[in-house]
Amino acid sequence: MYRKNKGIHIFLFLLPALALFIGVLIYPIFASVHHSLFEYRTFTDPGQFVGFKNYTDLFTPQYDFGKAIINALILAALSVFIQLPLALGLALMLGKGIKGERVYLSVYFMPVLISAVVIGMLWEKIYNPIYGLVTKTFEYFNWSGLPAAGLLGDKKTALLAVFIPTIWQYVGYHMLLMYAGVKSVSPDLREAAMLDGATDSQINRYIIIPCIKPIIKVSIIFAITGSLKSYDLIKVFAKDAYNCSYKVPSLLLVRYAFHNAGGIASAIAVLMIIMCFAFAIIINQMFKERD
Amino acid sequence: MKKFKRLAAILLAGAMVFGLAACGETAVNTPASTDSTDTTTVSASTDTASTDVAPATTDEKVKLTMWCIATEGDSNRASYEKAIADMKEKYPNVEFEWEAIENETYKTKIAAAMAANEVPDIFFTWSCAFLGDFVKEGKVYCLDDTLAKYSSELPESMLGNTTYDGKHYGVPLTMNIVALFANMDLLAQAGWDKVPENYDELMQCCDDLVAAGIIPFGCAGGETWCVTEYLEPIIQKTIGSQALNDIFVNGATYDNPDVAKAVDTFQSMIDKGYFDPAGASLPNDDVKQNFIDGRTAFYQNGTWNCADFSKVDGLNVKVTEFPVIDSSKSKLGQLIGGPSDTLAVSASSPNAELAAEYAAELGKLICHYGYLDGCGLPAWIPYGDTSNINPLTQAVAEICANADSYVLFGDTAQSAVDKDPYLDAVAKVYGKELDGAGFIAELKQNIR
Amino acid sequence: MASSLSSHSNLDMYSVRKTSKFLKALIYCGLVLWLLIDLFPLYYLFTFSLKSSSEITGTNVIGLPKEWLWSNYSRVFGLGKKVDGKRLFFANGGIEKCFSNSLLIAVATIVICLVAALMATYAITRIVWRGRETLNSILMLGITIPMHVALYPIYASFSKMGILRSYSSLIIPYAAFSLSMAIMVCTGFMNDIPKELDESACIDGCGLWGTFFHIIVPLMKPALATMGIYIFLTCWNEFMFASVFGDEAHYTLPVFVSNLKGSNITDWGLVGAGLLLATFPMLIVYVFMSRRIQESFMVGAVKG
Repeated sequence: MYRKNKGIHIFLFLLPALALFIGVLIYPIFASVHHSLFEYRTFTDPGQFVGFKNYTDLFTPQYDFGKAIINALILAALSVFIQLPLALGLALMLGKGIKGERVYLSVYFMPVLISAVVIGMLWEKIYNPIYGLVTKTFEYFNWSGLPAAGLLGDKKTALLAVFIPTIWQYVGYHMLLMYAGVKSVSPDLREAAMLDGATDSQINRYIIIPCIKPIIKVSIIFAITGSLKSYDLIKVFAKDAYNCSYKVPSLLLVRYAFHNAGGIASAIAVLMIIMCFAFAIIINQMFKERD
Repeated sequence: MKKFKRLAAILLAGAMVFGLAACGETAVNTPASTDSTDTTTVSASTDTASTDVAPATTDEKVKLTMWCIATEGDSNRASYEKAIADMKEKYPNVEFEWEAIENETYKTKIAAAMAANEVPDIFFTWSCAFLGDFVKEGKVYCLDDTLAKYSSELPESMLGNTTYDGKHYGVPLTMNIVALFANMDLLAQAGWDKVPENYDELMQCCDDLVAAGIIPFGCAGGETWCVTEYLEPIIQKTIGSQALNDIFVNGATYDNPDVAKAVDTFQSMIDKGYFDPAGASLPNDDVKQNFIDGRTAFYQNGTWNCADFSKVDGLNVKVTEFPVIDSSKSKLGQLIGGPSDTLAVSASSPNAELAAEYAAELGKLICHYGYLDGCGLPAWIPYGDTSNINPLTQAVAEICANADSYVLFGDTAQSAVDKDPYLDAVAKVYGKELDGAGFIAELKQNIR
Repeated sequence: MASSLSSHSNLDMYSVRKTSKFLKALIYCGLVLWLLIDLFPLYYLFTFSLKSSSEITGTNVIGLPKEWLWSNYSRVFGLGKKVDGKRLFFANGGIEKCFSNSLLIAVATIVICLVAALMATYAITRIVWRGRETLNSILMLGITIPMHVALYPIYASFSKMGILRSYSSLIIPYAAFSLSMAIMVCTGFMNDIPKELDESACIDGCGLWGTFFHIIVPLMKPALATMGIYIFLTCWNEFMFASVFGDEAHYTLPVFVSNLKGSNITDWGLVGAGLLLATFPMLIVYVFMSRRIQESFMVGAVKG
């Protein structure tokens, strides 16, 4: 009976998902591409067709989008090369079966649940150049080298200062993913290697890490796209976002979207989509070739 | 009572000198009726000159909504709350809903809402360019008829910043200027028992403070408007009010060697260690607290701070204006500021006429309570007992009484399109990425 | 691999155990160190929320409060409500209001997203038709699309539709941006349900919808719980859309927190108490459901 109208039924099953997907994800992509080719001072007034001018304008000093991309890439690189190894280290240590494993795991994961706004405001206090924890620690131990403007205020250290709370929050997440992978490695395999006399580091290197490679891949994709998208924490730090040393694409996007520069904002949106997809594809390819 | 009269006289005298900052002179294109509803409401209001049309019969509740920036932490919060409570008794048939949004978020939100015709009946706005952009698009209800009834309470000179093409679009609340606050106890530690009276004295005083281990200035690098509170008076006192106003409002170029010189003056003050290095990343909240806590000797910011400083026990503060740097071009009494905080009515409001009347009455009350609380000088002629107003606000009133001219805050005076590159460049100046020559070169390229 | 290991087979068990004892100590040190790093900011937040501004800003930065100001908390609850003891007529989003907004938005998002995801997954994995693989991979692209790009276009279209500043203006984008992940997870779980069940249901005379409701949905409960937790947490902490699309009546907790920063002098103890109150409910839930919450975060990555 239903076979006759199968098409209709399939359509009905898909309808809610497609409505959401097309209305909220696909339509904005096309709208952004379209808007990015116009002047768009306000929502209602598209202004003139300007072709790719918005894209080229983005890289002039006025919009300084190049710096935002570089900052996002630095954050992504820090995530991949500092955060993930740290997470992997913790996961390997925990995965050995340590007393109180669950407690460590639960505490490490906890910051993931805290709103980035809360974390931003908390770390802003920790970085405060006058009474912040960092400053007080340096004073207590009589260390020098802390910039007078605080880690967040000095151009050289600002990106690092943004990165530290990010590690603090997300190491637990990546650790959890990798820990799940480590635990799924068959204990027999591990035991066999031990009996063969392999050291811990050898087991890790030759057995466990190859086994959890797919998870590491997912972690890398999440870390990179997460860095490209990062907004909440940076918005709290950046306040009005004028010329801050850690501007990132999303910060500029939101700023221009509602500052009479919808065309520019749309161009940023399009570039962000392209970058996210490009990185996802590149990383997938890299892991494919290695396999 | 005597004091009140004197103050009122002072204020009126101060108010006479406006004109210069009025942004109404800039060309305003009447909207090419992009939105049919607003043009009809505007014309309807001009047609019906009779004011007793008040659609509010006693049993019929009318709902009015308002957005403003008087959040919990804002020093204006109390005056809004008191004014709204009064209004509830005055207009029992109006069901009034209001919402306060944090300053930076608000700018984004109102602009977005405006573009989408999603504005509440009454909204807070800054005068000049900020409101002007909305007026240009025909989104704002003309208040000529409503304000005509208040002409004896609201001097015309206070409406310059919200007048476009000769039409009034805003109800001014309080007016503020940028002033230099000095912690006299810290100055005494450096051997100064009076506020420096000219530029050389100020520099000498700063040197003495530095020598005594006291940081002269605090400025919040995290919030660029705070940097403009320092930079704009320095530019004004170097190039003069007229020249600065021409740049902000009348389309003159930034490419002016004196502007570059002023920027260099500002940076040389930073280089000499006059500015608290900790300020670079701090929000204004912290910087202001540092001044109260006696970490910095001076704090240059808006006069809305008077109330908060007066409330602190044992804080010995005096208020003054930034001294003249180039006396051939500028003189004392040239001030940054003017009536900026404004209530306006949306042209798309279904009850625009009632909203206009409500906004005017509410504005009057907010101004009244705000003045009593020391949140600024009143744009409306003050009434009631004003003898308890804090001495700092009274000192500001004196400064305004001797005012020569006002130039509105750069981020309010300039249009949204110009404001962004301007603030970006100002932030770069404070971050020492641009010097004077770089500043004018960048703005020449990005603005004109 | 085996050959590289066998070269070390001459190591006797004793030395292996010896090194691992040393290693174990090192491992414990590392683990405990990170434990402290994780907990210290929370300790700092906790003490900070009980201090006065003057303690926070100088006299007592790190230690326990000298005077335990529990009043900071009651003052957070007082925000946006009373002036001079009398309740004003406006409802000015206090923390409870924001909390219930967050809850309502999260729950509605979960329901909408999961219903849509389940139905779509069923159509893609259980019904055979041409193009289902393609559709699935298109839907999976959604995982990579950053939510920010929708901000401007969705704002414009919502305002045209007149649903800006309502619960649905947040629920719809949240549901849409969780959809791809939900479909991915549901696909993983649904593939584990044996196809024979569908077939026998078919023989019993259940139609597509009958099979879906009577066979598939009950068996998908674990997936729904897992995904529900994940969606809940992402909505709960979302800030950008919540701050731009909402108004005071629809503000969520993160917006409440960011509004604690006024443009003027801020009472830091009050801010600290607000931060902690906004965080606390989630941490309590976590204490009781840590395993389930962790699972919900793992499943997306592992099943993918």
